[in-house]
Amino acid sequence: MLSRLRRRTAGPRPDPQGVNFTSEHLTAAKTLARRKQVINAIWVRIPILSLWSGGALEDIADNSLYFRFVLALVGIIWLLAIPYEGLWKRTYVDEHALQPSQVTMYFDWAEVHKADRYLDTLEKIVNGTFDERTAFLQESFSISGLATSNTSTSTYAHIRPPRSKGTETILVSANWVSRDGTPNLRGIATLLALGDFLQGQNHWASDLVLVVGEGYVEGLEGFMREYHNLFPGVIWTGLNIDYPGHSFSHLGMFYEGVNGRLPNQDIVNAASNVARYAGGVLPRLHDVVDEPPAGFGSPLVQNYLLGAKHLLHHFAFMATGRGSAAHGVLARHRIDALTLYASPAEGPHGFHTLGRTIESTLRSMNNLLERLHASYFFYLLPRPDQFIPVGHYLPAAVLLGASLTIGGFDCPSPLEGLGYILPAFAVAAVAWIVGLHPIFLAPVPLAILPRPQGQAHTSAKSLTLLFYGALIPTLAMVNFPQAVVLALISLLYLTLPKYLALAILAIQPGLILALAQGYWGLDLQKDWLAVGNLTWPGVYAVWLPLWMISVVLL
Amino acid sequence: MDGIRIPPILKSHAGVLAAGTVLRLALFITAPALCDVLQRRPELSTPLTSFRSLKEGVFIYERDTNPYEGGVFYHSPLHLAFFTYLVPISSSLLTVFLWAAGDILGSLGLVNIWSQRRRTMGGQTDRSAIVTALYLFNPYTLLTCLARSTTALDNALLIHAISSAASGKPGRLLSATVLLAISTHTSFYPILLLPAFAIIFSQLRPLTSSTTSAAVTVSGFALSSVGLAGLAYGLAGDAWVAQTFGTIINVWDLTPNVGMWWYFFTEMFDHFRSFFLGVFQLHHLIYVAPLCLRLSDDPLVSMLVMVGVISTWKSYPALGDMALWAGLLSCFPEIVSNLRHPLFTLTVHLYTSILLPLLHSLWLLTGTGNANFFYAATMVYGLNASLAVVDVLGAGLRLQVKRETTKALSLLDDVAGREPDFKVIDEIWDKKGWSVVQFTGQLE
Amino acid sequence: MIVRHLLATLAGLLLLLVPLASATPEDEHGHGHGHGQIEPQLNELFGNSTTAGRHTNNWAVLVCSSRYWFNYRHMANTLAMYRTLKRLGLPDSNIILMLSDDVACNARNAFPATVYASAGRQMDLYGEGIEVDYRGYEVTVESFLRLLTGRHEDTVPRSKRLLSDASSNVFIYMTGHGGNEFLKFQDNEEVSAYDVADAVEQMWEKRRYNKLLFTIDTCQANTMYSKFYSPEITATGSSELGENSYSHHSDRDIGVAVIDGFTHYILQYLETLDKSSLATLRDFFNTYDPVRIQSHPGISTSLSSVPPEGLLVTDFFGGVASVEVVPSSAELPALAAGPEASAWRPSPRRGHFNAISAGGEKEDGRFEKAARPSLHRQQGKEWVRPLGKEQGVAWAQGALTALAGATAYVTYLALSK
Repeated sequence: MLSRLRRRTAGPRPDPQGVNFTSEHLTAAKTLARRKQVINAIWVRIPILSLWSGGALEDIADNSLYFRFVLALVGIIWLLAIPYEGLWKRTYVDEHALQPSQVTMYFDWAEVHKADRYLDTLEKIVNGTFDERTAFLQESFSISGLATSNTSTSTYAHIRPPRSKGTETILVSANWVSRDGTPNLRGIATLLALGDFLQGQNHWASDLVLVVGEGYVEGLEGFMREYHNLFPGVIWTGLNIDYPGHSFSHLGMFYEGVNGRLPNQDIVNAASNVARYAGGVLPRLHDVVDEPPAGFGSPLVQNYLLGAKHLLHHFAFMATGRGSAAHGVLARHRIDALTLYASPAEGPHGFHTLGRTIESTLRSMNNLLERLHASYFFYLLPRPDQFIPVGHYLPAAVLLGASLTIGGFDCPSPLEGLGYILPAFAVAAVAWIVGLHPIFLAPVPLAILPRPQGQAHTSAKSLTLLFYGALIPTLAMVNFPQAVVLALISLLYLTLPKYLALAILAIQPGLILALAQGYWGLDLQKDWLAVGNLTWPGVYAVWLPLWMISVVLL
Repeated sequence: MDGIRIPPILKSHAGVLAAGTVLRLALFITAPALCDVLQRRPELSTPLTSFRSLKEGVFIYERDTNPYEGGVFYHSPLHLAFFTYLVPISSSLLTVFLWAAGDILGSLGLVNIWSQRRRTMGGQTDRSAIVTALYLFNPYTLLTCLARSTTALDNALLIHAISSAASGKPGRLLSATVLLAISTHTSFYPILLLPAFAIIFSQLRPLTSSTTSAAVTVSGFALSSVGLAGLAYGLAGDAWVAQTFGTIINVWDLTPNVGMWWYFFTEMFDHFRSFFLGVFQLHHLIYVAPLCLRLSDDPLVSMLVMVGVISTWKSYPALGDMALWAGLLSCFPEIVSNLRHPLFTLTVHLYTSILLPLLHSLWLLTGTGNANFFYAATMVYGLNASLAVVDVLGAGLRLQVKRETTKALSLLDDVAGREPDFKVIDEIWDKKGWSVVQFTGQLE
Repeated sequence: MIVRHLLATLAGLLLLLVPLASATPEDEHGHGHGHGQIEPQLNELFGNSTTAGRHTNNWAVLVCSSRYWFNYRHMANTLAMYRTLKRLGLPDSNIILMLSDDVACNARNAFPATVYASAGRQMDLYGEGIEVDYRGYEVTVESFLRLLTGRHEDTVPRSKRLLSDASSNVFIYMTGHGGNEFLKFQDNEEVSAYDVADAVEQMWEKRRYNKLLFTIDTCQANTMYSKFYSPEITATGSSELGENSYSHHSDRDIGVAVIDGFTHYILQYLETLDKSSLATLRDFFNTYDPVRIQSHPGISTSLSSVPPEGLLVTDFFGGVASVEVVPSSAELPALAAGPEASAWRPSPRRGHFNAISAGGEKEDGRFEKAARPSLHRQQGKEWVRPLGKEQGVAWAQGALTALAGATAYVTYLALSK
């Protein structure tokens, strides 16, 4: 029945010698053949398109190297162009409610005097036990009239302003140990004076909680694990005070959180604005001196190097997933926070400047009616008053990922290739479960893992390229520096000629990690256990398998 | 060193089945936390297929209250009854076995389809192990099973319906129609496969004429559906119609999923809603007639393409629907060999499978993104799936032309009379340097 | 034969009907018969002529369309304008004040229950005696447009209605966040310039104003009055398309900006006037200084039949009304002396709303109750004929003529056969 609907007049009998049996067919065939020739000439040059019609795989393999090299080169050039100020924009505070530096500050010399008195006692008890120190802190808070209590690792005070509804809370913290490793006594003194100062003020719309945590970060992390039960009110913003030295000349902004989570840019910009205009102290990023290095040539080069210096500091934190200061543990709880670090100097500023800066920042945070959402969450800060929006730096990672992905399209037998790749992941998983340090996996690829030959080799390599080529851009969306590091590692392992790759692969990841731990004190495992830094599991899930597969594919 | 020597026992059909079952059971039993996390993923289960919602519905039902009156329970009363009376849903061990069994049965059905296909298309190698492996170890299928989404069970039923239809025996008509009716009852869209079913059964060498066969198929389906509806009425009154079919058709629940509907309808003005609902739903209908007409001598391929369309464009899709389609596709090796860009499709699937959960959590967990991020990934997924459907359709038509031309030109003299092996045909065409450029017309 | 005669008779009758149909009485616009003296009087009473002497009262509508602490200055703008209006004599009963009213008692306000419009905080604008008619979430686009057009539900109290008439000068002041032809209301909706223009046109049609002064202080404010098309509107705005309007200064103890530049300067000028000032709108507009205001204020007078030189500032900003002297014969008789006579009896009123009886007095057991709110909005209105009178007449004439013509032709055909 249905064929009745489809039947047309039957054509003439086909010619047994070929399929083109009418003049129409012949002309059509000639046109198509001509077209095919022309397009093939172009497609061979751009191998990715030849996939579409099932072009010869050998062509792809030969010609795509050129294309991939170009992509990787453009990606690296883009990466190197990031410190160039052409890609930068001036920072601005996007959330209208913040209104930074608009308000008079009342923190004055009376409060400075109180802070000095607190400091005297703190210096005496700094080496005491947790209980002794906590007792002093709680006593001081109570005398100021604040409700205070402690958890097992921190002491806190809760300020309930008279007209606050209690639904939102601002967190201010100062831990016992500064990021320098020295005691953060002046930071705690500032906090105590602040508590005394804030009590009774009637122009606060949200509650405040002042936290003094043990150690550098453990105390605050412990507090954050328990804080839900301690008081109502959601914490939207936080501020951490780090004041190790005697006086300071600049105020350093540390904003990176654990696992590369950045706070909303508004909080950084507002704090910088307040420091500069209300506090009268120049802000810095990460305690990096913001002056172009002299004698390096033209201002362009000098500015480029300065931007690169700032960005490398930033990358050092983000690529390892570490928070740059104690505020980093707040990021997991969706709290936009940063650390104000008073960089030690003989300089002019002390409690007065810091107190006023903090007060004005808190007043700005007080103005918020909802979580910060207006400004960017993904950005790079090359200078204290410049930023790079995500669209200006992300393409670098995408290009690097694309250059890997394209190499992966030549996959004759995926299943076979998979069979050579999965063992590497399985070994890494076992090592993780057992708790083996990566350095002990050095002999594994040559000893245990099978080495593919011929078609299986091509398939295995292409699958690796596909997988890591997919991983890099997706990781770049959340943690760009880490994705860049992964991209560079992948390119070095997978795309270099054999003997060069051999030299690079000889440096086992475990060796690099051990050296980092020994030399720079970078203990990723401790970070994972303490604050949940996912870089350590990432080493097992991503880096080690990559290394093992690359060795096997050599 | 040589390649990994997989013992041949594992490479056999039984071995793969065993490995798949063991993997599922092991993961269910040793990683319940993982299963809990997966149950909450919107990519794996929708409000219509979610295990948690089903548990809640059964809980309410057991306490003599109609769960449909609550307004957030969308499962069919058959699911409700099954999990209240037959397999108690609170027993995690029984559900483990049920879901693992569902996947196994699905893979067995796929092997049936494949062997039927081999009979008609030719082909020498035994691909039953590969078909089973591709279905059982497909991450989409595995994760859907671990998430205990009812998509896994519905997939098994639909596969068996198609398998009965493909079996080539008129006696399987009853099972085909009944299973199709159940599939339609649980997720409305399989009704679009009914014309293809009718064509299949009308083309068998039956005792009755083709029209009668078609009529019998349709009436069998209708009777089964009515019977099921009656059963459902008996179980849960009449509130279920609005909640199950009503939600599928009217899309009242706009929970994010991997489909294209939810974002669209969140933003829509009320006075345009019915128009766009009509457009989206009727979009499915426009494929049915052309596919059935054009591919009437190969209705299994039209069913394959239709399943692809449904999996992408249904109102509440999940990754499990794509798993069903991928499994079906693996039963058609001749189409797979004619695909133009399979690796591209798979690569984009790799990308989206990373991006979808990432962007969802960036939106809802960390709050650093918004719904547009997730919807963009959804759109890439949908676009990729559409491209794949077009590719499959093209491959099917190309295959048809190749076979007919080869037969007409008697290029396979030595095997004249038998169904030519598609691999052989492909080789001949490659050697001659021919490629298919035109699909219309008929060589007579 | 007989048929032909019948047809001829029919044709003749129909032809006779045509002049009869056209002899229907004309409406009042046409050259009617015998209504000559009433016309000019009706015109005068119901017409919208713009000769002097039509202005008897002033009304003001002050709208602050934004909320939240950081929009303190918009609240201050509106309250400062309100104070100026009251100072120049406009009573509260003639001012409709729409404010979100959330800054005075905001927890962030270090000076609770006050609103200041200048640094130094000399004058509290939120003190006693302000009457906010629409506060908080009542300030919506819908309530604003209903206020202008007068389309309220029966339950809306008098204080929330704009009870202006054909001899009222209405002053509309709006402030908040705006853009190109829109104004943002309360952070979640917008009103477009077209909507406001249509509402004002409804005001004109319903004779709800004599002259209108529209002032707006937002970003790109001048676009907001660019769509007006009703007569007798003078409009002024603070900035051109693409320009922002800037705040003037902030009070550092309050912590936010307290007044916008444009409003600050116009209020500064208005402070120099008093109730008897004869300053014209031209003088007022001449004080605009784009350099100080930091944007280009706009003036639109094309829709007004009287140029700004002919309009006094107090025509809008004050409570001055012109007085008409009537002959003594029109005086009402004196009320009879005595306790019963002095007892005030509320008069029965027809129309939409019934007067609420004063303080629940009971007189003779009768108590004038307010009518129950009706469910049907149209109740009390006249039924409006779907087809107007002239239209109906024209249609009828046309139809009859066509019919007559057709019959004539048929007759002619029949007769000539």
